[in-house]
Amino acid sequence: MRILLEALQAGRLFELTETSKRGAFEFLGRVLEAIPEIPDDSGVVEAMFAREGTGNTAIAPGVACPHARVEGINAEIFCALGWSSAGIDYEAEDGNRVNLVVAYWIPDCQRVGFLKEMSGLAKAITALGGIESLRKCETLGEVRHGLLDWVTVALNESSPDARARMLRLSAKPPVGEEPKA
Amino acid sequence: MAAQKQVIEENQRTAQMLHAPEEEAFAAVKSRREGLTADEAAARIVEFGLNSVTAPRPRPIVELLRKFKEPLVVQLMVICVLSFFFEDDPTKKILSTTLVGGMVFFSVFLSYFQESRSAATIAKLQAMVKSTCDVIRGGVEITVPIDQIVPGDIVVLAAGSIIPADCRVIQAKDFFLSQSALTGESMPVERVVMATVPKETSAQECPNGCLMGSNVQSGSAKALVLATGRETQFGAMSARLVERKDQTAFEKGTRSFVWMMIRMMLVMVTLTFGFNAWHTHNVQKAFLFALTVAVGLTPEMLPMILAACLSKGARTLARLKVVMKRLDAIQNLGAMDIFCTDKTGTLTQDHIVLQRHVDVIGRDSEDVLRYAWMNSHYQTGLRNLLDRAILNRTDLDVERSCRKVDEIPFDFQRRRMSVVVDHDGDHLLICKGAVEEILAVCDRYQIDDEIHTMIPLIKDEVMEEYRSLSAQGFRVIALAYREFDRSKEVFSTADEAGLVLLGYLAFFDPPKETAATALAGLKIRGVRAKILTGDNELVSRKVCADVGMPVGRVLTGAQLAAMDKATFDAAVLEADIMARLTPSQKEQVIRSLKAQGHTVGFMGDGINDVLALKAADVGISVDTAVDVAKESADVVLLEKSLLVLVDGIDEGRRIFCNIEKYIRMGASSNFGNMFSVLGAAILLPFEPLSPILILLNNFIYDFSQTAIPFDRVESDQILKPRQWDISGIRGFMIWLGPVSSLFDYLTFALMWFVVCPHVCGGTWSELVAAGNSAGQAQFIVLFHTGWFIESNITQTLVVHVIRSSQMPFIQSRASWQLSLTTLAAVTFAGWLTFSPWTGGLGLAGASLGVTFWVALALMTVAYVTLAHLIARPRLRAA
Repeated sequence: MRILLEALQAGRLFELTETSKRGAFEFLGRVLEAIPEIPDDSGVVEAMFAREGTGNTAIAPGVACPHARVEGINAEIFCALGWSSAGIDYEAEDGNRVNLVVAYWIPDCQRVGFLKEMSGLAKAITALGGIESLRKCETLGEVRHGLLDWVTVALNESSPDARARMLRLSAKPPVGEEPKA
Repeated sequence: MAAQKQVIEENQRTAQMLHAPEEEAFAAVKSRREGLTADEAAARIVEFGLNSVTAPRPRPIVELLRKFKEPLVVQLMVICVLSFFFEDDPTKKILSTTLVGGMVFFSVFLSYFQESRSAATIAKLQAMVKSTCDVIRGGVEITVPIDQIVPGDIVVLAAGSIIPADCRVIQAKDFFLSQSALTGESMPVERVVMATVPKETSAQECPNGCLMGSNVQSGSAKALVLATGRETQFGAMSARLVERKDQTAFEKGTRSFVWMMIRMMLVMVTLTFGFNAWHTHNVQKAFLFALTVAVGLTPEMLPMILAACLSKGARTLARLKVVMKRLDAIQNLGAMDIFCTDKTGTLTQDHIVLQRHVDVIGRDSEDVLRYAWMNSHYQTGLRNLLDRAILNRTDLDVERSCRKVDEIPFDFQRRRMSVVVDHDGDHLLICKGAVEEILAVCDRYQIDDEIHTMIPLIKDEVMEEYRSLSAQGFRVIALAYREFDRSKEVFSTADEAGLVLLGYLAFFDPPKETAATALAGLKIRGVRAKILTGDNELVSRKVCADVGMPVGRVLTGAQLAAMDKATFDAAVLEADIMARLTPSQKEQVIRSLKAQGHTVGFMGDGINDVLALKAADVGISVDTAVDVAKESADVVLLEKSLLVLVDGIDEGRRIFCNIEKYIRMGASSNFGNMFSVLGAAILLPFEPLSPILILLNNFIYDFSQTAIPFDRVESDQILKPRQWDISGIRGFMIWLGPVSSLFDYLTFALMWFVVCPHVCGGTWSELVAAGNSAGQAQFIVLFHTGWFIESNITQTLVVHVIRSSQMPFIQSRASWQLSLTTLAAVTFAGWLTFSPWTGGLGLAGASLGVTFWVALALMTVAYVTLAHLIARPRLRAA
């Protein structure tokens, strides 16, 4: 959730006037492209659409995380948030309209960070009762405060779900050698 | 009857041993859990015989006597008997009976000899691909041929095994059998250890029984053998039923050809008898003549030619590393025009190497390798090439720190398998299998040492890694795990849920260097290759691209499942790759292609290929296949190579072509003879040829055809799939037959108007008017001699015309064997007309004169040329 926090701190939370998925993608894509660290002609919008074509990026009722993956660039992950109080027709599997769109720009080397971000976000949404808490907000500022609550919960909750205890086995020694202790 | 009663009693005995407690079953077969000793097993083979259900071959004399029931032989024997009783002249009686008897001998004994040789060849070839079974003898697990299994053996069974005998399960783990060969039911049934079974339960339904004829779909077991060979349920069934696959199109075609010739012969005989009797007013003589014409029109050498071609073909194919398990599959091999196969081992080297072991986002991971190794190491079921590749990659020291707790074996529905190991106080379930099937049971994933919840978006992301690896041509499986409390000792498929996805294993199977050449070879031969695979379409496309196989349409099993019949039929015909297919979908594809008029071959080596192997016109497997696949195949390749298959197809087509030669010859020359004899019977005031000479001519001609199986086949004739073509044969009959008749009539004219009058001192009319009976007799003898020689030459040499579309003797030459026999036949016939027996035979070669021989030479050249010109377009179109 640190990426989302960084975006909130950088003021990249916007009110979406668009009601369509395409409009939201284009708007947030332009916002991301405006970030200085993101190279020009990155094709953010096209990459987001390409990714969307392989599977819907709604992660919870009312929340979607479209993203653009890029290869060959060594940089951080950035995101931009769009809020639509009326909701966008996102063609999500659950049929719900999406209010919060969090668009990510992910260099290939940062996939681990992105997956952890998604897991953290999903946990926070579940812990705080989903999008309903944000739908009650009347202004964008209230939405921002609500999102900061999500970040706080996510960062305070134990993340990951668990830590793995992997088997540690060594290879057999060659014949004639004593096995190592 | 007594034997059947004994079998029924044995079957009841098997059921009793399944009903009774296990100790009683062991006591009944005098066995123990450690199995029999080697000496005990050897003694029981002597007592019970080999474990085989094939009926012992009848005694040679019985097989020989059966040959006399064939329609062609019966016909000849009837003629032989009739001509013996109706011929008055003692010398001619003996001679004609000897000649027809000689033809019967030729036909019966030569074909019996060839079939015996074929049977011996097949037995030898089948021994090369014999199935084996693991048994425990003296406490040690060994592998023995299936026919060496005896009652009391303890057999070890795993997925892919054939059940070698009627057995009782004494140890089982998720053990599922297919009993479709016995019951027709396609759904697998589970077999378990059971102390007792209600007495009214049949042997087939006993939950602790596994019967010969079934095969293991999944799981593993040990079983006590209760009955073997013909004392099994399957053995009893096969004693009552003649198990026979459908006749091939060629078999049906040759059978209908034989009956067509017999019908033609009957018509011909009736007409000839009628005209002759009316003309000569001598019913007995006309009848005898009609009988000998019948012999001349009968293709009595066909069974021998067929048997010789198939037998020789099977031996040649074996040298090419193609083992024919059924001789009649040779024709289908030559007729094949669509070839379906998986890519592994045919387009690829089947030398699978574990190239990468990565976490969910593609970073190298030793944990993935370690866990995969334990999964492969501890499983006891079917260990496939992927497992071997994993085990070859490393060797872990597990004996002191791990203990196997349980196993959930692989099956083709679930497409994954698990082992449970005890390590440091926990029970760890490690599961590997098809990526989609593993992801379906994962609700978490692991990155580094962190375990996170799997949401759909993350599932898409981790699938991206799988797709990326597949597109690079890797074969990818996924690995997952879950920890359980130590108290849980028994596991089932229900425990494969809530797993943690750990990563992927990527295997590479390099393309074969010969694959591109072989595919090009198939294409040149008019055989279209299609890939039918359970693997994903990305890898399949990559492999096809690597071997240069053009790929148009690609379909998946899911897409095919959604189609209606008409769309399905069109789609499978068009598609080059059909991926992610289930075993039953492979079968459906093959049946659809067959229904659309194609001859379909399928090559497979796994349990999941058995349905398709049985459905195909030619089921092709390999020596290294699982037993049930080898048993289901018609052809077994001793080398898993498309090049070997291409060689096999060529040989199958050669055999077909040689058989076709005899049939074309039989059809055209017999049809021509029909016109000649009928015309002669109408036009001539005497028999055109004496019965003795007709029989002799036929005998010499039959001899000359015995070398057809050894003839060469031109390369242009094997470039197309060879199918039975009745219209082509009819075309030969209609067009080439009259050509032969034309030259017969020219010979009649030559003898009637030129040669005979010149030698006898007058035309027939003049001789009759003068009352010159000696002259008339000489006239007839000369006429017979001339036609005997000409008929023999044209009938014998026509094989050189119809064997190839190229110019005979100049552009294309027959094999030395066929050249020798035809030359010998013509030379012998010519010599006979000068031999010391000319008087008895009614021949007079010495009197014919130079005019005849010059005219004969010119006519022979003209005949060969004209026949070639007429046959060539037909041969090219065939």
